[in-house]
Amino acid sequence: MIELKGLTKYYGETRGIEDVDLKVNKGEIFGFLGPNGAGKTTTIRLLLDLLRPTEGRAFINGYDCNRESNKVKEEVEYLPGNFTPYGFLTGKEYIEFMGEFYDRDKVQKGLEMSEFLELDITRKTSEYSTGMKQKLGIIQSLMADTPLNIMDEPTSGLDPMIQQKFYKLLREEKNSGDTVFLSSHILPEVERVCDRVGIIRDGFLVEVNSVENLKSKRFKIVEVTYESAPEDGFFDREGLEIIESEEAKIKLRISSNLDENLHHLTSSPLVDFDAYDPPLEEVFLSYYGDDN
Amino acid sequence: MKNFAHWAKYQYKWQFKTVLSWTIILGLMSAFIGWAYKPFSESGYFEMLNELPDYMVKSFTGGSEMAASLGGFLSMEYFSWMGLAFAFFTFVVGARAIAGEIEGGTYDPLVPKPFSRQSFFWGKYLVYSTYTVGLIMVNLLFLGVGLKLVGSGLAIITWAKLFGLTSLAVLTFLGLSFFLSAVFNNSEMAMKVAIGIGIVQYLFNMIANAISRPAWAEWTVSHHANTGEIFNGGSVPLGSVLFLAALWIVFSGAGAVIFERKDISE
Repeated sequence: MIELKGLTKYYGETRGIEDVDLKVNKGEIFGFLGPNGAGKTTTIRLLLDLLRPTEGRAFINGYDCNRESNKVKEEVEYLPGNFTPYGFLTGKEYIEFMGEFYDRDKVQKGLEMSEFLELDITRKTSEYSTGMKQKLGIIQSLMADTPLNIMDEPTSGLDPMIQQKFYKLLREEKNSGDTVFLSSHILPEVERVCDRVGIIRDGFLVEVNSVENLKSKRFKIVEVTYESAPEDGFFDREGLEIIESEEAKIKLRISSNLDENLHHLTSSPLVDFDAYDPPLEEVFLSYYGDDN
Repeated sequence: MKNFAHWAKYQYKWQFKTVLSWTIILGLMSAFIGWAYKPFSESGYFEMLNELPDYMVKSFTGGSEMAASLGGFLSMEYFSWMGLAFAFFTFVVGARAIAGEIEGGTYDPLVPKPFSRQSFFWGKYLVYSTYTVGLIMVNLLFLGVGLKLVGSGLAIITWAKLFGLTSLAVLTFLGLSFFLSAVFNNSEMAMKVAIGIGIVQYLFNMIANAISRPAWAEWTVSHHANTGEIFNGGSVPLGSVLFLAALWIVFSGAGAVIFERKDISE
């Protein structure tokens, strides 16, 4: 569905992305991960012909994104990262305006989706909260039924209940054979909905892998507060690494031997304990150290 | 074509209130100017006008022989001021037309819709062009009403010539505004540059006349928008029509080409 061949974009001397090769298969949900400024948005804007490549080419369903952009438009829909509707329109008017680029059926689908996502479409969009705007963005993107949907940070601003509904819509897209190219830096979300992920860092695509493989490389962050500071050497174990230490309060990374290491950490009297998934930035750092 | 029509239809609908506001405000000003002709002419206005420096009389009214007439009055009090107002209208709406959508983020969701950048540009251009011409037409009608109230109606043919030449000059400014709107991603910058160019060419026109170098002024839009001759029963100067039409086409076309080729960053 998507094919990037040596795709490169420079803004003057500044690198946007460099030599990116990628294939996204039809019918898969592909997560495109990276910290801000890594090149995610540049890649998306190249796919949409908003930017023109310095070198290389991008294809959607076999059409060159730059030279055949009008044909590409028949294949793709897009939810921008900072979705902004016309503020002088109500939600309903915006859905009608966007849907009529296709046909009345799409408008009807959009209106049904607004009910599903619990969006008040009678209000002017200028009065919408961030979450409401995002719902409208999702609707305008999904109602067109295009074979490919490109979504930049789709759940930004959505409450957990609506996020669940959005994931349901994504599954329906996938079940109907459509492809979703989803940019995000929320790892649990990507794990939950994506079949494969690509990780971009400093403009280079550094990893393309299945979510299962990505999970196997993951680690946990653990914060423990002991009654008294443990003796020297207590944390010298395989798969255990101290991130921060302040007397009896220790922040650690467990990258392997999870069960054994957790037992060991809790073997000394505790005052407090917390374990959570690391932010994606930390996963990047662990996978691809600065020297890489 | 279907999507171009869809886009243009919505643009007509969305811009209607803005243009209507401008039309009413400027129309009332024009009606007032038309009505004011008689009181002005009876209160020593023309004597005052003839005391102005020659270059000002020439620049504003087309010459001293014109000054003491309806044509002189309208050139000075209507076309000078309303010409600026029309130009300002195009600077404000034209400069925001493209750049405003990009900087505001409203263009991005439209990108995958099945219509091209050219359709986006020309759809907006068509709408603003017709609204601009409509604004001028209504404005001249308001002026005619004002004049009619004091028994100094314009002949239809004179009105038509004034309308044609004024429209062409203002459309040239609209082309310039769209061009700048396509060049800059910032509508405020596009508007400032458009207004700056408008003022500079206006001043250049005045200075060229003041230092008796009228040939220099031939490079300005203001010079070719001179309506003084038309009031004396003269025809619309073909050279001016061609000059303005050429500028209009070049600005508009260049704007469309630049918008087609440019990178649109976030």
